[in-house]
Parts: sequence; structure tokens; C-alpha cells
Amino acid sequence: MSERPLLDVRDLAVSFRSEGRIVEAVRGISFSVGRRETVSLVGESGSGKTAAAMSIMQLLPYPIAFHPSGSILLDGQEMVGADTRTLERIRGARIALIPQEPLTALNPLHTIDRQIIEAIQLHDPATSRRQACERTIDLLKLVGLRDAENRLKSYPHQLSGGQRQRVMIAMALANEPDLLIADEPTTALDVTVQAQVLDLLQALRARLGMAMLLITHDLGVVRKMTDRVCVMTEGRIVEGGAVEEVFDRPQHPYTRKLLAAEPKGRPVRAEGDGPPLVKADALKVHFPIKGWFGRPRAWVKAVDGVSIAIPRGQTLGVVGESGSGKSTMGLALLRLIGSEGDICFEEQPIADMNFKRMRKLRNRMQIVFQDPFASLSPRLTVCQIVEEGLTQFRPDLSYDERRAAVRQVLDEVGLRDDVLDRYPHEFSGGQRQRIAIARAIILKPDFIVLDEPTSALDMSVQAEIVDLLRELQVRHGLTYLFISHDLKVVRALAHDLLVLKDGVVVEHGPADEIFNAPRSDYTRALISAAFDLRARGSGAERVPA
Amino acid sequence: MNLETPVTDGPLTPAPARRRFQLKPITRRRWYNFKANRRGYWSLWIFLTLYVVSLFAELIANDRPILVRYRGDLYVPVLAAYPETAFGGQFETEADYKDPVVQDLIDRHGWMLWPPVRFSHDTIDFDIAEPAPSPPSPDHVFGTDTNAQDVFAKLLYGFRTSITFALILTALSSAIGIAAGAIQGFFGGWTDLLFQRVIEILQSLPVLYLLIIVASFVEPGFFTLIGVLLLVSWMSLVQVVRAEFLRGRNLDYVRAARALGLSNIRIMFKHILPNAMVAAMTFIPFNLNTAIVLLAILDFLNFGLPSGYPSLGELLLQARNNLHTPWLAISGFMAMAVLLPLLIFIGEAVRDAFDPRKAT
Repeated sequence: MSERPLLDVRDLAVSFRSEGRIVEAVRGISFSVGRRETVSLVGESGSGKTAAAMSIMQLLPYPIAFHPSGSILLDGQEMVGADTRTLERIRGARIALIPQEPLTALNPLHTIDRQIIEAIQLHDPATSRRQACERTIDLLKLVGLRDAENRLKSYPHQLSGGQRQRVMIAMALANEPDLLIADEPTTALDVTVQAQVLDLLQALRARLGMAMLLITHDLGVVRKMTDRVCVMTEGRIVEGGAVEEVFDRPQHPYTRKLLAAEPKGRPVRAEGDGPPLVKADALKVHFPIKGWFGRPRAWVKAVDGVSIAIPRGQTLGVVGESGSGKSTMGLALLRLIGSEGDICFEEQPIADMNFKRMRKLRNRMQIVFQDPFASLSPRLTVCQIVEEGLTQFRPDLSYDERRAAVRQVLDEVGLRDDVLDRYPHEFSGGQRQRIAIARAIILKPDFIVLDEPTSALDMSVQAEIVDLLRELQVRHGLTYLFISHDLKVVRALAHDLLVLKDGVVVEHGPADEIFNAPRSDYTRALISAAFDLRARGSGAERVPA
Repeated sequence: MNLETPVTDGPLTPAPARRRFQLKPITRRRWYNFKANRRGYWSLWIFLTLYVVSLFAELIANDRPILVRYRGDLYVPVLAAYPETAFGGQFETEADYKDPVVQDLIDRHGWMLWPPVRFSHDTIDFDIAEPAPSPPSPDHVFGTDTNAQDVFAKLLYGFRTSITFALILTALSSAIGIAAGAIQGFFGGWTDLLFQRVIEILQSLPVLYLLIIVASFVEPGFFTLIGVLLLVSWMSLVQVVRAEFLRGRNLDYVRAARALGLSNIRIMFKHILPNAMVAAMTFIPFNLNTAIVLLAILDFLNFGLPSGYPSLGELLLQARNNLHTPWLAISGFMAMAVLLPLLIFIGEAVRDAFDPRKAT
């Protein structure tokens, strides 16, 4: 490209001051984005990619953040240290941002039209309200919001996650920016919605002739969307170039590690005979919507008549979009929330047991939650967290015996034993999830509900956790209920599959059968969303740059 | 906008061996934040100094000597009562060290070590030059009140009573309030509903009116007054603690604890209470303030502590009744005006210390 690139970042460094220390988030990166080009920054969380992107718009929390070196040229205009007025003219008008969390990025107290009109009028005060309103409708139609005219006056909470992300995109496009920065635009969305939003971005970029800087950790997204890729780790770009080149001939070991990090393997066949360990019949969880005087006005049927049976040593994968009742079903099986219908554990009916009697069974069934940052009490040490179950069920053990047991189980999940007296905040997401798994298996349970244990983790860590779970299953003959929206992970673990939609079973059967020959449209949509994102060239059209 | 914080991954540096009394990192960080609020930090030290000094008020303002040496023996009149006969006097009753005769007896065979102020809060000085209340003089630096009692001694002892009273009241009402809030928030549902209505009814009662009625048929003493005030002040922490527990009971790590089969009590104490304590701690200095003001109001209205107790409220009452004696009003006012802001400043620093946004 001989012409001057639209965005030219040279030797950019970003540091943060924190408690008298200086944390170097970005350590001298250089890249450029040409007009109408899509470039992506890939890396795991903590690699500095968001900090780098935010500094392009100068949106970091200065003066806590500062740039020890570097320059950011947008069309020859220096952004680092530019005065506020210049920046205000550029932000939103020439560079627009699509933030990661569509759920919190919109002001909940304003209707969406007001928020978009504000964005339009801010940069072009001459626009009349009427024109701005028409433009808003056009924009909302452009981003594919159905029934745009009637939705103008909606509040953000009346829209779904995908719709909100569309509104955010409309707002970003309001002033036809030259450069669109998309910071993990789909991470918070369901798989099926994710595919739609990516398609939309792709089409819009081609139509409006924008350049796009895409920040993501998902290599599938990179493949589908971008021309060039910069791989970041520990604040540095270790490898950059055309997507095909980098992906087909990775030079740097970190890139190779990233590429190899997809959850692999298949569930190990276990003896599926004998009575099922866990069985539920017509399981229902209904939440009342209270009307006047506490009389239920209506019911939210979170789980509606689900019947399952999981043989010992096997894994039942439960998939579905968010809100389909997967997690609720897991909690109901463990009797952590109220439900109707029969639940049997080892042929023993537990649906009607009270809290006290259930407590005696708690050492046989455990749960691992999705968010490893929320599921560990921040005030307890790792040892205290993991030994909690022992203090409950093995009061005969002494302090030293408990510590020895904790040490052993931490070793089993791949953590060194010098972590015992540390606090959870000292660990990364993957390590925290290992601690949560250690807490669950220390009592030697038979049945573990895994509630999206990998979805809050980085791709490479996901694969490690999946491997760990499979290994533990084989070694201890564990029975899993594996809840996930990510079919790639489910395929690596599940023997049987249950597809849920709105609390109702859509499909139920051996995993291989469903993956090879899905019978319902919903399952097909889920599968194509999960796998076609990464299947290069198939289905997803590549828009010429 | 999401700013990823760098996470330490891979090999961790070896953990330093934790000693028994080492502060947890979070506590250390809070102490650091507390100290960063210079005003609050110094307020804490001034307050502590004042309170500790007032705890030893007997050694500063007293109508008895600290130490007496008489015929080679040592006596400690601050701590023990000695009959006049011990010093060669005539009466079997306790020696009156202000009596020139007794002073003379002791001086002849030994010496006396007096505290800097030779009046206790209830010592009536019959030798004042002007009719009580008398203006400040070398003997009485802050003047005397209507009973010819030294105002400085009254302030010193009154300060001690106020703080002690407020500390006990706040500690008890916090304990009750936290327990009640914990139960309400944790169990929710009908328990919560009933408790909430009871609290609303209690809170809608006019506090002072209620206390005045109660004071009319209960003999007010230090601890009965605490008991009565407890009835109306235990609600102050309920709402914050309840809110924390309502939030906390649905956190993942609480769910995990439940899945481990832990009892409700353990979940409440070990997993949720530490979080709720953050909110509660922030309120406690302000509650202390309220308690001090409440006691002063009651004393001012003559429904407070019995007349033998030194109190700031009573001093203010005397000041109101004697508008021509500014030294009473000024000293009473200054005592409150120093004490209350000190506690507010401390409270602000505590709030800073627990502020999660200042965490990094």
C-alpha cells in the first residue's frame, strides 16, 4: 500500500500507575491500518490489546495511564497528547467504538432514539431534529433492527443483547467514521447472535468503506473477518501479517500455541450399562411473576418437563442459548432451587428431601460455576476454600491431614502446592477455575454439574480445562452434567446431548448422532454458528477489501 | 469500556510465609487508604489521645491527691479512701484533703502530690470569689457552673461519659442490627417482610417522645438508658446489612458453599458477613456521633443520666439557663464542636478505606 495509512501506530507504550508501582500494559507496539482494511489484534486477556485500542481514542483513565513512548497518527493527526477539543472532534466522528458489553454501554434511562440522535447532533449541530430522526431510522434499518420505526422509543432493557449490540453499532456508524474499533464485539453474545452480528459488521464495512480494527481473542472471528492480524502477548506484538500467512505458517511459538488451543479430543467411552446415577422425570422449574397481593400473575417456565438419565461415568452435555434454562436445570438437579417432578440419585428419590437430609448427600454431588472470579470467596485463602467441604463431612481430620488432602487435590488439578495460603485474586481465570474444580472433587463426589466452566476463560485455557475434566472423569469415574453454549467444547466432552430451548427439550440423544445429523432447525443453527465461524471459506463469504 | 488488568499467569513468585499476626493484603491496603486521608488519620489520633486522657481523668482533675507520704508510709487517695485518723486527724470519716487542717497535718509529716486541677467534676468549691457561676479565674480556668463546680473537670469527665456511653450503645446496637439484618437478608421472604414492617413501625415512633415517656416510669441510670436507647437505635445498620445479605446469598461462591452442604449459620458468618461488615463499618463512626448527640439532647432535656453524672448536655442546659455566663456556653459548645467533627472525619476516612474504587 503506497498511500499513507489511515491509522499509524508507532512504538506505542501504555503504562498504568497502581499503588506506587508501574504496570506496563503495552510495551512498544507498531501497526497500521489502511483505508478500508480490517486489522485484528488477537491475544489473551491481559495481553494489552484493549489498552492499545483505547489509547487510539485516548480514552484511557489519564493520568493513571500514560504513554512512556509512541505516537498514534490518524491521517497525519497526532492523537497522543492532543488537546481535548481536537479529540472531541475526532471521537465518534472519525473513529467510532463498539464496546464489549452491549448490556451496559447504553444508558438505561434514555430511549434508544435519543441516544443515537445525540450522537448525530453532537458532531453536526446543524442537523434538525427531524433529519436526525430520519437518519436514526435509516441507521437502525441498516443494522438490521427489525421494525425500526416502532422500536425508536424503546428503552435498552426492552431489547435483547443482540439487538442492543445492533443499536450500539448504529450509534457508532451515525457519523460515518473512517475507522471503527470493535472491542470484542461478540464476546457477550450468544453463539447464534454472534454469527449474525459478525455478518452484519462485515457487510457494513464493505458497504460504507470503513477501516476496522477488531479486538478479539477468538481466532475463528479473526479468520472470518480480517485481512491482517497482529498477535499480541504481554504487551508486545509477536507476529503480524496477512491472516492466511500467519495462520498457515505461524512463526512465533505463542501463535502456534494459540492456534493449537482449540478444545480437542473426544469423550472417552465408558461402560454405559447399569442403572443411571442421576435421573429426572418431567422436571419443571417455574418462577412466578407476582401480581397484586403476591398472587402469581403468570409463570416463567424456566424448565418445562425435562426428563434425563445419566449413566455412571458418562457426560450429558446440555446446550442452548442463554435463557434456555440450562443453568436452572443444573441447579434444580442438585436441589439448590425448588422444582417439580421426580429426581433420583442412585435410584433414591431426592426431590422431596428437606434441606437437612440433602446435606448428607452433598458430598456426592458438586457443582462448578461459570465465572471463576465470582465463585471463589475473595476473603478466604485457597486452602480454606478447598478444605471447606472436608470440614463439613470429615470432622475427624486434623488440620494437618486436611492440608495434606488439599495439597493432593491441588496437585491433581495441576496447581503447585505453594498456592495454599494465597488469595484468589492472585490467580488468573484458568487457575481460579482449577481451584473451583479442586473444591468440587475433594469430597470425591460421583456427580458434578459443570455450569459453563470454560466460557469465561481464554481459548487456550479452555482446552486445558477440558483436558483436565476428561482426565478426572476417567480417573475417578465421575458423572458430569456439562452445561455450555459452546458446542466445540461440548463435543470434546459429552457422550449424550440435550438441546434446550425456552426450557423445553428440542433434541436428546447420543452426541455423535446429533452432531452428524441434527434433526431440528434450532440445533442446526447452533451447530453452524459454532463451527462455521471457524470453517474457512465455507458459508461465510469473504468480502474483498 | 473494559480495561483488562494484567493477570499474573504461569509461575508465581514463592509465597512469603505468612505469620500469625500479619495483616491480610486487603487489610493492609485499607489501612493504607485510611492513612491516605490525612484529615481522618490525624482525627483518629487526636480522638484516641483525648479519650485515653479522659480515661485517666481522676489523675488530672480530682479533689484528692494522687499520692500522699505520711510518716514514711505511702497512701494513694485516688484509688482508696482513708479515714482522717490515718493522718492524725479526729474524724473516722474519709479525709477531706481540701480542708486546711488535714493539709496541715499531712504537710507536717510528709507531702502530697496533687493532680494539675484540684477539683473533681462534683467538687463544690466554697471559696470562689464571686457567686456561682463564677467566671474563669486562675483556680478555675474555664470558670465554675451554677453549683460552684469546676467546668474544666466537668468537661473532662463529661467527655469520658459521652464517649463511653456512645461506644457501648453503638457496639450493642450494631451487634443487634447486624444480626437482624443478616437474618432478614439471608432468609428473605416472610421473615424479611415481617421484620421490615416491625422496623417501619418502630422507626415511625417519635424517638424523643418515647424516651421521655419511658424515662418517666423507669429510674434512668447509665445502663437503663443504654437499654432504652437500644430499643430505638438498633435499626440503623439493619438496612445496609440486609441489602448486602440479599445480594450475597445469590453470589456464586455462596451457592458453591450451599452445594458443599454447609449449614446456614456457617454460610452467613464465613461467606457473607465479611462483605456485609464493609458496609456496616462505614456507618459505625456516624452512628457513634448520633449516640453522643442523643445523650446530650436527653441530658439537656433533663431526661438523661441522673444528676450525679457529669455530662455535656447538662452543661449546655446550665448555659441556656444562665445566658449571662458565656464561659459555660462556650466550653460546652467547643467540646461538642471538636468531638463531633473528629468522628465525622474518622468516618470519612473509614469510608475511603473500604471504598472498592480506591482499591487499585
